[in-house]
Amino acid sequence: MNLEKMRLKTPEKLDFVSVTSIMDFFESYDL
Amino acid sequence: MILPQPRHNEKYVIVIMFYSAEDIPIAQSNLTAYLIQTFENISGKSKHRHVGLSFGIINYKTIRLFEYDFSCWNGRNSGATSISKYNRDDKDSHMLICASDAIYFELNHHTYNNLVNNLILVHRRGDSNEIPGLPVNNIEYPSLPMILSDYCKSFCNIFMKTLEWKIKDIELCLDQNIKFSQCSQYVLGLIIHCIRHNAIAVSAKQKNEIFSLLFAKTALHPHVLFKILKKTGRCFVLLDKTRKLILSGKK
Repeated sequence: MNLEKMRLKTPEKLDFVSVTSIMDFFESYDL
Repeated sequence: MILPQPRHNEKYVIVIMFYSAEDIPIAQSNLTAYLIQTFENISGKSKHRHVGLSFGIINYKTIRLFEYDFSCWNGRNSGATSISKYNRDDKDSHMLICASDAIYFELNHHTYNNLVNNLILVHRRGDSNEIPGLPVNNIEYPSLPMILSDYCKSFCNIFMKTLEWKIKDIELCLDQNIKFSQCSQYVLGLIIHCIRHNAIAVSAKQKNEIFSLLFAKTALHPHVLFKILKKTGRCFVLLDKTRKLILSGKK
């Protein structure tokens, strides 16, 4: 993906990042 | 939370993402944002208007990125916001803030694990789970008078850039970052923590240049941070088109 396609949709609002979503990212990744 | 060890031929990577924006929506209703945006347009710094941290996994040809930007933003405390993939049909004005450059560096498992844990931790004074010096949630954004005051003071300190940094000077500046922080300070805090704990190897000259950025305090602009990191070359790598970037969940 090109860098220019990566956007911050609503930077003025905070999102909740759960421990589960982080662990899923690291355990199920496939490069 | 203990992250798994990276797999063979893969490493954990921190991506410092710089963003540009034609017109930041908040600048229409927020005086601080409006003045900063006008200054950036005049001084040619609009390509690097915002900077944030993302983490991911790297191998010899690809970086896979966790889809959140951890940073500070005017009008809210520090924390995470999602990164989205732009498509042509999206007419949402918020989608004007797009990534323009990225610099990445690899980290060892121990430091990386501490950083990821801190990034999802809500800052409370005296919290024993918090690793001091690493970026954390819930840090207040500085006020406009504070930014202007620091901007004026940084002019007075311009000749001090060649001085060697003393530990107490660094501690004093980092202490302010814990109370108030804007996006560049937030990222700089991580870099300085990594250098001080030998997680990033830089020369004495580069170290002094990076530490000197602390003088600017809340007036440190993302564009200035970008220029200094780009100069260091070897450990901070500028993302180019030879390496593929994948956003998690948005292939």
